[in-house]
Amino acid sequence: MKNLKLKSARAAKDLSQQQLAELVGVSRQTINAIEKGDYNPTINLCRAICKALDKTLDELFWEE
Amino acid sequence: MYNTGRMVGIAVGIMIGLIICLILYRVMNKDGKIKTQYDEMQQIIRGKGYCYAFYAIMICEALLIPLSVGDVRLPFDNACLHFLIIFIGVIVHITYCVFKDAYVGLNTNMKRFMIIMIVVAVINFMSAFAAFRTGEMMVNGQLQTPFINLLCGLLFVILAIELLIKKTIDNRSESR
Repeated sequence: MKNLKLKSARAAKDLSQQQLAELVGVSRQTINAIEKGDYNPTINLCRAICKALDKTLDELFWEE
Repeated sequence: MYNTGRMVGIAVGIMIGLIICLILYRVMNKDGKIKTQYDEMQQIIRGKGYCYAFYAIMICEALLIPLSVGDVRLPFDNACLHFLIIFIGVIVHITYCVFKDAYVGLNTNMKRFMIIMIVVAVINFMSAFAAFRTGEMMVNGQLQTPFINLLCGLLFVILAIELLIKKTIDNRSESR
């Protein structure tokens, strides 16, 4: 399932996939795979992404 | 009849090569920059790549059993045959990793990597070409050890082509 919350949070911060990837120490392809729902990140990476985007885990990764 | 001198020579050559690699790695990797770093998704994909490479090698070895039982004469000598199987395993691994975005690491300097690839490929092709000219490549209808140089060169050419194709695919998907 696509992670549109992550995509919109990244866009709100005006960050490209590459910039976010550099902030959290992964490749651009990994961020792309998370947004497309092709990869399920570990909790450590989820936390790093949340910190970089100033969001909580619930806001980005919790599915209603 | 065994060619003991040749066997010892190859074994010593492999050991010296490994020792040189180990020393270079220890001396040059003090700051940890030489070791390629991969993120968590890439590590998982690379693990799967090794798994598929292992299956490929197992299948090739299994296919060879009836051939060797039936004394089928293959157009390679023994060393080439074993290297060919390793080559197939490596190709499976790199192909899977390249197309799943797990071959190029986070700290890979692509320019340096390409230069090293071209230099190694050229050295191997030159060595294979020299063997062709002196007639050492094929003896009694069987490819000899210089064929390994040809395979090494070919490996880097295939890798370069795959990286190029992957880059083209990425560029196209980005521009959409």
